[in-house]
Amino acid sequence: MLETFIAALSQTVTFLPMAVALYISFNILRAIDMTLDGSFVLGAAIFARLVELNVSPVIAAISAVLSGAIAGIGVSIMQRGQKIDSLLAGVLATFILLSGNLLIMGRPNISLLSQVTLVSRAFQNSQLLGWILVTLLSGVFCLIICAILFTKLGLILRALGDNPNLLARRGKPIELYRLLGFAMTNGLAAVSGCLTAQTIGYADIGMSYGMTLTALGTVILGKQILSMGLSMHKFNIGKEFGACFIGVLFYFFAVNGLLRLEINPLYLKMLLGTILIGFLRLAGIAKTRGQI
Amino acid sequence: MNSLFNKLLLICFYYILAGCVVCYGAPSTFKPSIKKIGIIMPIEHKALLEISEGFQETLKVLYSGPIKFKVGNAQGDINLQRAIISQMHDANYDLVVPIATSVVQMTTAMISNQSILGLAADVTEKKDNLAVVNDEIDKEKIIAFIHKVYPKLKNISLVYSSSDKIFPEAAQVETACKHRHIKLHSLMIQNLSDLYSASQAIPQDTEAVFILKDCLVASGINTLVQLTKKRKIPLITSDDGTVQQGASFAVGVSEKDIGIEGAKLAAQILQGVSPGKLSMVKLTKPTIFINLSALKYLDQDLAPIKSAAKAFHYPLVIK
Repeated sequence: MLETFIAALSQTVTFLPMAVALYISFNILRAIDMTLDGSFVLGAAIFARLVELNVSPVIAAISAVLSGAIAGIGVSIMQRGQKIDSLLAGVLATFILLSGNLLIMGRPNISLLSQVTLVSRAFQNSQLLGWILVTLLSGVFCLIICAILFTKLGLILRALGDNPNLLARRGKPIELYRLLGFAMTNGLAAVSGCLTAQTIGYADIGMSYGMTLTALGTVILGKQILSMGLSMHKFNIGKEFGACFIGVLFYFFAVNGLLRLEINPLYLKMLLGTILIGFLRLAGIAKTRGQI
Repeated sequence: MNSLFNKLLLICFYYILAGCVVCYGAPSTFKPSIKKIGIIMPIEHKALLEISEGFQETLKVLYSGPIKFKVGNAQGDINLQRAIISQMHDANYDLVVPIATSVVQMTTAMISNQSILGLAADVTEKKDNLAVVNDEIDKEKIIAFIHKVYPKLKNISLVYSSSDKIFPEAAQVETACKHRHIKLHSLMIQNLSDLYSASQAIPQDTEAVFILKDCLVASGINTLVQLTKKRKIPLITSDDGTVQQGASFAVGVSEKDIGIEGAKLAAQILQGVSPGKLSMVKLTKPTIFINLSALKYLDQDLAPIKSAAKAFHYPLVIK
């Protein structure tokens, strides 16, 4: 049981920034940003390429995060003045990033096994030390974003998602706030990609397959689980962040747990889906009972 | 009614949960003497299944002790792949056998204290716990063979995907064609849905269509079979699976052979040899797989292929 939990936790820490990014985009900015898939690979690609070119891992990591933010800015510019629908803009940006990432990497796969990365030395010393460092890096970025959401900027971002017209009527530059929001989310997705590449030992052009959908599922799941015991009606960044964490941890715990029960991976997603439906129904029942 | 349904749902859920707890608590079903071997495939594909089958069948013959195989298929999901590797690591498998380059890279990054045998992988890093079977045949050899079969060949189209393994191979094909003054028209696809558009963009003066051992393109081989039939030009591939699906002929390694070579290494590892001490196995001799009915449809004689195979000393397999 402990092994399953540790395996799930190790996957959670690298995936958490992606889930938080999706949460901000889906729940705060009220847009499903498909660019996150591309930004995830972009973060990994920039980091791997720069490290391969003997650039310092710290500079490579900063460049990876900034490149994700730039991708977010690009998508925001595409949507400027509601000219292109946010979903379509995300899809188009993903198309562009597919080729862009390939151009950056020069080939579809860069191995990091023999490269010095941010966490390689820690992993060489001990697995525990390595994972503590990965957790710290992931946690710091997520906490910075959570801290931003506590500020007035966070309040304006929430207002932008709820009612952009009202914000515009009050004279706020909504395009600038959207740009900041998308830069934040895509930067976080790049953090996730960068950390994932370092822990799995490579950056690959196809490594983001299904990431956005998984992140979306985990965020909704986390909120449902938390709503069984806590009221989620009022916005509370601690609870929202906790929901993301619990959702991701639960998802990976379920995946790892089912695999350890010797379930054929072919049926795993079907069974996982069924279990998650059961959980969501239970959350609904608990919620209804709470209201009564 | 609704309340009854909710109660039933709760009972079912608790039943599943109790089952999980019991299974976790239960002692391992493996006896200590049984060697546990975990095979990891990135995606469901005929070629990968054949590698796995060849590996399992041969190892059962080569290793006298009891063996238990477990095949984990990640279905193209990187998170699932990580979970499978992690599970095999925690369950102390005696040998972990990842298939394909990116799976080998991930396994090597995650496992440092168990033996790993990478199959069909192009990994250059040396590790004490890693042995590798590389199936990459020199593309110069393949183009030389095709040129021998069609000496007047001037224009050929290559359809390939952007996967880690294929990308550099496509560059090798380009160089090999240049050496032989063959004009190569390359078409890269990133998704299977791109294949139809790419096939329509193949120039009219193309005399043959060539594909590498490429899982993505092979998945949509019917699109290329239809096109080449319509234009009455040969479709040359690099694996026997695509020949069975309608390609004219293939120059490549039999997937089963990769598994067989891997099993030879696995038998040594299970007998106590350190994987790092085993030298990388490279499969260098291609086999020619021929689809007689496809050649008949093109009114092409078998003789040039036979004589080319004889000249290069390549074995022939007629389907």
